[in-house]
Amino acid sequence: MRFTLRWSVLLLIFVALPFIFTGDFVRGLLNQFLIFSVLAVGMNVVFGYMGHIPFGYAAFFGIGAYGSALAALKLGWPFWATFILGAIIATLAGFFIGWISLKLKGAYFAITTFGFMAILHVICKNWVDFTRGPMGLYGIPRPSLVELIFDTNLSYYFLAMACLVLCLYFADRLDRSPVGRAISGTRENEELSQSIGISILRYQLVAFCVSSFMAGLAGALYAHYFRSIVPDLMTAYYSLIAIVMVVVGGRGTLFGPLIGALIFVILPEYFGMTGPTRMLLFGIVTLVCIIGLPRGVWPAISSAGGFFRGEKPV
Amino acid sequence: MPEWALWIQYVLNGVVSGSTYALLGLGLTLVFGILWIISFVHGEFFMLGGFLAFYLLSKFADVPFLLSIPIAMVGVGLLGALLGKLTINPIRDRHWEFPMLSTFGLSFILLSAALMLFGGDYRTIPTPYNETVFRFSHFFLSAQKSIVILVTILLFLALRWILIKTSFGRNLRATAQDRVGAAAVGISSSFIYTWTFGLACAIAAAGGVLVGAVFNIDPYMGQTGLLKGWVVIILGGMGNVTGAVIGGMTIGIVEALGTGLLGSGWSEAIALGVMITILLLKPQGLLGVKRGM
Repeated sequence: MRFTLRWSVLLLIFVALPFIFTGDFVRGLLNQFLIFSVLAVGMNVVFGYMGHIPFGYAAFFGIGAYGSALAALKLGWPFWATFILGAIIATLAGFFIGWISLKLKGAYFAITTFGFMAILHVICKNWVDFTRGPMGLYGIPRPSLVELIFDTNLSYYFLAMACLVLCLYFADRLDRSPVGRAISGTRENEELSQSIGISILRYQLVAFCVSSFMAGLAGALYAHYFRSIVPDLMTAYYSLIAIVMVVVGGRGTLFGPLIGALIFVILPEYFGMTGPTRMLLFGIVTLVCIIGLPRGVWPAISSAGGFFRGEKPV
Repeated sequence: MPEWALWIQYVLNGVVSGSTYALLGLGLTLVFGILWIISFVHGEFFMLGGFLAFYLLSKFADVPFLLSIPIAMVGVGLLGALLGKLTINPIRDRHWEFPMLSTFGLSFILLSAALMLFGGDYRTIPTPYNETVFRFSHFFLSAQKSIVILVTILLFLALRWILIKTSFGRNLRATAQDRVGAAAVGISSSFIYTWTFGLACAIAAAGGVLVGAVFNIDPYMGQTGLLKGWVVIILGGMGNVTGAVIGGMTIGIVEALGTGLLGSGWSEAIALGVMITILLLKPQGLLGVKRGM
């Protein structure tokens, strides 16, 4: 009962948001919020549920963006196909990278994925014939479905919202499924999980692939929203902001990443910050949260007697 | 110039850039080996060292270049100790991810502050030693580049001396072995955390000055430098000081040869490929000992 109530409230808020904030600028911000939420939800699967830090996460974001943009530009595929293609290529890359990196633990895992991302970045920058290198891709078409063209901020909002809600629902189902329990189990105690017959590598690989699928989807959404992409999408910056969104919002909670994304998209705009000052704000918010609010904003809200109780403790 | 001489010249240049990687690796390996912190802010101190020396030397023309290295080291070392005390000390007993995330935040803050204060341009630290070039049969080495190599060797020896001979070094090693045990015999963890972090920042600052004099400096140099530093200490073994120098030299030489073979765009990928291979085959590094994390 609570479950359906929670989702209907969430959906209601999501549908109402663009009609409460009708300005085109604010709707654009809401779109950014949704895109980065998808990224953060995917990060939460690995970082929150599984307990590993994937520094190379932005690799999948970039792969999704490039896969989808190249399919749209070079092959002229319709958007639903390019979105799926981008996400699937990201998942395959996630399978490959995860299969290799998950044999390592902790810091070593983090750095290995980081290395793969940096290699992909170098490839993307230097393979000029295919990716146009540092010049990036531009003129990526807005998605269209027969007569429905997602060319306004409002229509794109609903497309992005559909993607986000699907990802959220999937992350929630995954977390509650036996697979999700096995994944959380490996986070709490690897030896114990292994001793009761959980194949750590297999379950963690599933989580890693799911998360790279979401990152790829976020990348595709990003590419078709901003309509131009550069290889710098695959740099540590995007991994870090995704990690920071999850940490600030509430690690391992379902809605925490959304709060984190909201803070990180809306706050700089509210203060009119761009470029370096935006990064300064990110740094300060991160430090304050790490030192003062280590469990994140969402658990703080929900333990303050919130309506959405019953989240898994961090 | 015969073909083989060209390759030896590449190796020589590799040793020069390898020296700066080694300086980055020395600090990182100290922070990881003793404090068990994966520092993401290390590259920013490397960058700040370069900028401190740049402003010092361009504002005050009569400061000799060699004096700017210790000044930058002291300045950045003190800043590092202060920031370490503020942001890492309060959370040092938590899971290793928390201090690491806090270094992310610090790195964002310092990078953006540098962008706002210094702008994004490339600059070269003024130095009189770039004109003098030594020639050994077919190879060339400028005086500035020899200074880079010499300072690296000196700092490495000094760090080894500090770690092995001084009481501060003994306290550091004791903390590295067993933090609780060290605290029980009266070694203040807070003191060790603050000053080890400061020491690591000081070494990075020296690297920044040397890079700025031979190549150039810009606010983003810390980000690329950090990556190199990671490759170096993974190769040499995390927490191993000698390994950091050997790793730095190896990466420098491999990259220089790779640039000769494939062009500069791909040389970064070679270093990263080496890093991933080492991590998978021998995660403790070439000289490291295995430890849990």
